[in-house]
This record gives sequence, C-alpha cells and structure tokens, in this order.
Amino acid sequence: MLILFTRKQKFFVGCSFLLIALPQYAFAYVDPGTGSYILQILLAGIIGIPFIIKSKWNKIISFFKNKKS
Amino acid sequence: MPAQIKQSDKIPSSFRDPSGFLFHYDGVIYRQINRIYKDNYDHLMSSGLYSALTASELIVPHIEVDFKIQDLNGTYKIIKPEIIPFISYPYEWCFSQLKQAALVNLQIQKIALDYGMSLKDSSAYNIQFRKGKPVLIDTLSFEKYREGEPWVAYRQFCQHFLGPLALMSYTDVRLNQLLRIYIDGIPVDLTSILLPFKTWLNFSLLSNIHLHAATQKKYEDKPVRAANKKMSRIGLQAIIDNLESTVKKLQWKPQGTEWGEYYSDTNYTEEAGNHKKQFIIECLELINPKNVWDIGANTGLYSRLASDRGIPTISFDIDPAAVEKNYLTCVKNKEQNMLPLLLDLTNPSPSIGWGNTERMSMLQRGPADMIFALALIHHLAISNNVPLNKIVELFSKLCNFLIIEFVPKSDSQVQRLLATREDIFTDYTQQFFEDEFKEYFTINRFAKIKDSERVLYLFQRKV
Repeated sequence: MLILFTRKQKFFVGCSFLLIALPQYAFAYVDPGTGSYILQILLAGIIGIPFIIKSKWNKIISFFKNKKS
Repeated sequence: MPAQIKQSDKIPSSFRDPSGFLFHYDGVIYRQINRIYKDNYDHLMSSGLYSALTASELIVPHIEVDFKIQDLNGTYKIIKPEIIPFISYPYEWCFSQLKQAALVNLQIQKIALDYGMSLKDSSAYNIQFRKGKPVLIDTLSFEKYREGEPWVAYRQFCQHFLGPLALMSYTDVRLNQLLRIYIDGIPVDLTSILLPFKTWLNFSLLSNIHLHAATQKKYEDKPVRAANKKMSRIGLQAIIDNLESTVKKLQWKPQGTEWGEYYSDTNYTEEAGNHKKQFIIECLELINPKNVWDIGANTGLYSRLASDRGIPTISFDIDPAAVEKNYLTCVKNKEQNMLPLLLDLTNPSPSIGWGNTERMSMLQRGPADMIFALALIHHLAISNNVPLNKIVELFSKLCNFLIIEFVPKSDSQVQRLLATREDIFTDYTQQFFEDEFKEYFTINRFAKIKDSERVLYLFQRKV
C-alpha cells in the first residue's frame, strides 16, 4: 500500500506518525506554578485600578454614613 | 532529660512542611516549631496578628509549653494547640461549608497583610470546624510579606476552593468528590474543562480559572525569571478582593435531590415520631455518651436531641442537599456542638495521600461513643445488598453504644425498595437481626415504636 505513495507523501506520513507517537511534553517536568505566577501578575495589572477606585469609593461612602449616624 | 520523639509519634498530615511538625506525646498533640521558622513565628506572635486572629476566632489558639525534645531539625519552640474534636476533610463538606472555609481563608490573608505577613499555604485541609465555625489550624502557615511578591498560595486557593466551588455551583454539586482523588485540589485545567460555557462570560471565572489554565499550559515548560516579575501590594490586595467577591457570588440551592424533603416523606405518624424521640432521649440520659455520630441523619432532626444536650455530634448523610440544609440550620442557630458531614457508609472516606497516611479514613477517626442508625438498616441490607453480619461487624468497629432502628419487610418504606427488585432477602427478619447483633453486642433496651411496625434497640458492644 505504502508503495503507491510518492517519496514526499511517505515523508509526510512518517512525520505525522512521529508527531503522534512522541509525547508533546514530559509530564514529570511540567510546572503549573509558573503559569499561575504570570497570570496572577497580569490579572493584578488589570484589576488593580478598579480596586483602588472601589476602595476610595467605599471610604467616601462610609465617611458619609458615619457622619449621618 | 529531653523527651525522645520517635518517627511514629509524628502525625503524617504535617510532614511536608519544613517549618515544623505535629506529634503525639503522652496522648497529647503538640506542634514543634523548627528553628528555620523562628523569625516568622516571632513576627506572628509579636506583631499582634496572632492576637487579632484568635480574637476573631479565625485561628485555633495554642499555648507555648516548656517541653524539651531531641530532634535533628532543631527545635525552636513547642506549642500545644487546642484540640479539634473531629477532623473533617473538604470532600466531606457541603457547598456552604467549603464556601465559608474559603472566605475564612481570604479573610485571614487580608488581616495577615495588615500585619506584614502573608499565607504561604491555602490548603482546605488547614481549615477545620471548631464550635461550628471554620478556623485555621496551621499556626505555621504565615510568612513575612516581601514587597513585590505575588500570593504564593494563589494556585492552591484556586485548586482547593475556587475551582471546586465553581464546579459545585455551575456543573454538579457532587464534583466536590474530585477532591478525594486530587489531594492538592482539583487541577485548574480540569476545572476549566468541566465548567459550562457560560462561565467564560463571567470575568472572574474567565480569568481565575479558564485563562489561568491556559497560562499554565503556555508556561508549563518555559523557565521564567521570577526576579523580573513583581506585583504591588495594591495588586495583591486586588487579587484577594477579586477572589473574595467571586466566592461570595457563587451559590448552590439544594433541589431535586433524593433526601432533601425526607421528613415530609416518611411513614411516621406524630405519635410514632414522638415515641422514637422519647426512646432516644432516654438512652442519651442513661448512657450520657462522650460523643455521637448520627449516620443517615438527613437534616439532623434526631442529631439535635444529642447536640442540644451539649454532646459533640457529627450528623452524617449521603445527600449533599440534606447536609447543606443541616449546616445552614447550624449557622442560623449558632450551634456549637453539631457538625453535619457527607458520608456514604457503603463507601466511607478512605485514607489517602503519601503512604496512605496523610488523611485519615473514616474508621481511623472512630470509634464514636454512640452511633444512631435510625431508619438506615433497610438501605444497607436491601438497597445495597450488605449482609446483616457485615453490618454488625462494621458497627462493632465504629462505636461502643448503638441506637438502631429495625425496619421490617412489611414496612411501607421497605416495600417501596422491594417494588423494583427481587426479594432475595429471606434472612431479613427481626429474629435474625437480633441474633446477628448479639454476636458483638448485648441488648440494653428495646421498644416497639407506637403506631408503627418498627423496633428501636439500644445495643452495647461486648468488650
């Protein structure tokens, strides 16, 4: 069956098998900690400013609430 | 002369921590603080953080003891923490118990930051229920906060709390059982796969779960120089605030499960119910047990006969809805002696972790002084095909005293169970039940419940 393929096609099929057969990564050395670390820093950058606004706003609200009571 | 602590005295749940370890000595639990943790412990105690946390009942209190032991790691101090009467695990908690534990964890982290410290762990196993409230039991969980550092326990928080809560809320409440398989919490990528599409439209779950999983995948094999990556204190506070508001918004309402409406679905008349209660009260007054486990407690109607008398009571049920309702009642009434927990007696919590010793099995946490097994026997013997001698053998390992209700085959609830299965239970008779129990127990008293076909027994285990 393989004889029907051109050399180029055989090379392509061979590479595909290799890609399937070889593991994409070695599980034992995978570290999810790095990604968690990066994500946390990126997220802090996004939510940092809204958090400051929210904190200031809460302070203003509680200032007026205290004054009222 | 310094006391010699053998390896076997060390409690296996704390062996990973280089800061110290728990050990038994003379029947008491102590915690050694290693010299390596000296600065952090001194800061915890002198900064006012420990006092603030104990005043708010957020950490288990301890006393320092003058106790010399020989240990290779170098002892700095020995402390004696207050004992938690029953250790429970997150896979035994209902939704609101896990949610409250998560919120306590975040509240502690917020307070710690005010005192210049940060939680280095965010393990659900470090939280236990004390007098009905979740508290941190690991005094060595804090480290001095270093400006610019992200929260080192962020991933653990997502695995132990946020992910499981999101799965219970959005996918299926039973998915908390994944915590039994993944001892360090449900991997974020697995949570991401199991959550429905609509969670991608929720910014907090999108970022803390889905993008978190994607970032883990992207950087899993790439070394990153941590020194270049800094995060401001405001950024860290924003992360904690974001996690707190996300957890607060997660909800689960019990509905459509098997037992949630059990008490309105029994075949008891009022007279039969009152007689059953009276029998249990008489047994409690006669024996005055040190503690009670109510197995198959539903929402805890009979458990409260014990807990209201000041007896520490664990109220087990297989149904997440019943445990949830029971826990919410405990919170509402500020009950201190009740702990509702999830338990399938036909497959109780196993011992898990390193060497199968890190987390205890249900049996290892017994025996209880007294067990209630009310309206349970037919579910074990008929629904689950467990032979009576096996049931007796298990109860003999679990308790000293047993209040058990025999539900005969003629009972309408048993007839319901038999309606869809062949009656192969020829031995299921009151006489055979008594004979089997007499192998391990003596009958202390019994009563045929008025206006019912059921019989209640108080058994005492033969020594």
